[in-house]
Formats: sequence, C-alpha cells, structure tokens
Amino acid sequence: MSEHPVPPDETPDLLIAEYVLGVLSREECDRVEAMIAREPRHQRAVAQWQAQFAEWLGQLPASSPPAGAWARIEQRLFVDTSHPPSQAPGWWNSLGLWRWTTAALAAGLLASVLILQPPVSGPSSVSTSGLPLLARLEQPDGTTLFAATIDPGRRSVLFVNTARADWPGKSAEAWVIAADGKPRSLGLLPANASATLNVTPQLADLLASGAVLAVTLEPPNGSPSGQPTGPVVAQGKISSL
Amino acid sequence: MQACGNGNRVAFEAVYRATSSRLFGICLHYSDNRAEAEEVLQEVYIMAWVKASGFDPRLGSAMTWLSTMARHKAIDRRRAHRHHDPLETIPEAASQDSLVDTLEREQQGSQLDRCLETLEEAQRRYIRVAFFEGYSYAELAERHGIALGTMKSWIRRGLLRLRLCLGL
Repeated sequence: MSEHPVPPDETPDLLIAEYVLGVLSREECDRVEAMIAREPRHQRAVAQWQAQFAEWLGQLPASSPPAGAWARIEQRLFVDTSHPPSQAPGWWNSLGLWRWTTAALAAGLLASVLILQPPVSGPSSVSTSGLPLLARLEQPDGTTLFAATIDPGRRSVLFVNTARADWPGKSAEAWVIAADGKPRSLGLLPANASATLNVTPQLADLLASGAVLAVTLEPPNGSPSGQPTGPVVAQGKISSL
Repeated sequence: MQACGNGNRVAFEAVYRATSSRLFGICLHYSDNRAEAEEVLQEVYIMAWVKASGFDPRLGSAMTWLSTMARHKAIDRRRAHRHHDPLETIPEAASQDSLVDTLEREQQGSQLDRCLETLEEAQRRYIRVAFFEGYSYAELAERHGIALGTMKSWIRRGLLRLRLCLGL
C-alpha cells in the first residue's frame, strides 16, 4: 500500500476527474470550476466524465417524488416571483427549443430523457422496450401542433402541445391509424395542456413505426360514432429515432 | 410571447414527468432524509429552468445533465449541513438493486465498469465508494480509517488508469 506514492503532478486532466467524482474540497472545486470555465477542452472532458459516471447514477433505484412536489416547483417558479423565470434567457429560449423552430432537437430532449429511463417493471416491458417512438403532429400549414412520445412499453402516449391548442365548443380527439387505414380513438386531449393518454392492450400493438397519429375536432364529448367526424387539425407519422 | 412562455412551461412539466422519479432516487440516495431530498429535487428543477443555458446538447444528454446536477446539489447541501451518516447506512451499490445488476451483467457492464475491472482492488473499491458516498478525500479517509495520502493515491492512480481505459 505505502509503495504507492501520491502522484505528484496535479494535471488538469486529473483534477477534472477528481472534480467529477466529487472528492475535492469546496476550495479546490472553486479552483477547478474557474479553470474549466476558461477552456472548452476542459468542458468537454467534464462532460465526458459525467456521461461515464451517469451510468452509475442510472443504477440507483428510481423513486416517485411526493405528489405535491411539482406543484411546489411550479409555485416557486411561476407564482412566487415578481419576475417570472419563464422570461429568463437560456437554452430553452435561445435555441428556440419550445417554439419548434428546432422541433427535432426538442423531440430529442424528451427522447433522450425517455431512452435513459430504465424499463418500468416486469419482463414484458423489457422485451417490448426499445427506442421510444415519437411523432410530430403538424397542422396543414406545416407547423407542429403536438409532439407525441410513446413510452417504450406502449402503455401510454404523451401529447405535448407546442402551440396554442384550444377550440371553444369542440373537443380534440386523438387517433391512431395503422396499416389497415382504420382510425381508432386514443382519447380526448385537454385544451392547451400536455396529456398522457393511456393505451389499451389491443391498441398498443398498433403504435408502431409507420402508423399515423392524428387529432380531429369533435363534439364536446368526443366522436359519438367512434369514428372521426370533424376536420383533422394535425397529424404525423410515428417513427423511432 | 405569452404563448411561448406557456409552451415552455408545458414542455418543462413534460420533462419533469419523464425525469423526476429518476432524479428523486438520486436525491434520496445522497440526502439524509426524504424532506431534504425533496428540497434538493425542487432546487434542481428550478436550477434547470433558470440556468438552462448551461446545458449544451452537443456535450451530453439532458438526463446526464439533470442527474449530475441532482447529485451535486444533494452533496453540496449535505456538506453545508456538516451532517454525516453513520457508516452502516451507506448502501453498497452492488447490493442495491438486483434487477439493475442482473441487467448490467447481461449487458456485460458499461464501459466504465469494464474499465474499473482493470484497476487494483483498492483503487476500484474506493472510486466506487467515493462516487456513491459523495464525500471528499478528507472525509473518506476519516470515515474509512485510511491515511489521507493512501486514499488520495488509490483514487488518483485509479482515475488516471480509468482515463486511459476510457480513452478520455
């Protein structure tokens, strides 16, 4: 043991590894952060180490946060402050992320987040899991109205509206249209809000690459016939990344 | 402008829904109790919103960025409180989640784990311990009854070898 002397030179490379591992004192961390801030090469090294160690963070068991946690975050972000942070400059705005001028990037964020989620539970979700499936539902003029993400187990579809989406006096109904061309209802989408629609086992198999997701306008409680009756406001093909 | 802000908010909620149980798991691991962990979780998402410009999608995934931030925040908070867990409660990652371990073994481990296998035992052990406990060199040495110089030597030599193996 004592035949291993402490490596004498504190090279930037070693300091960066120690920094990411988290063994440095507060003062040393400050020094390393200052060093990193000046040098893009170091920033890349930090990111590479973090990506490696993220494997280990991914091994920690997930745990649902308390039910009110999101409400408290919303409260602190959007209600408490007189200067809403939603106006803060940053990546969310600077890259136009949520305006969908770079729709693929936003889909990529949600996707990268979903890919790295471990299988939910049980062997069936392991066997059917794979890359999450995505769809960008566009209006006839080509603007994206919803980003849809299908969870790897195909139990639910998350619809995030990316533009104003409300139709007074109407309801928006989501459909999946598989190879047979027959629309099947996934459920109603709320106005101007993201929604997770649960999928019945019979419909799960239809949520495959190449199938189409569409949203139509229907009477307030949805299509009475079980088939779409109103205009298609947005549609898009399902694809994996 | 308003609609844009609202869109951000909805998308941010979607990111929260997709990531919060993973992040809360990390917060719990590095915090002393659930109340502390929830406080850290809130801070992480508030930071993520406000300091989102610090995220560069060219450098890494959003999940890595958020997970790393959760670990740092939790460790920072614990250090600020100068509170130390009794040693017995520190989980060994290897014994923590058999499903994950099984999957890991089936996939023959990550690149990091494969490289870790090439280190001497003490190096391997204390790099893992350092990561999962989240303590500084001085704290690790004290908690494990090992001379500070020896602890530093093990971890530094291990990190240098890991770096070569990982090609960083």
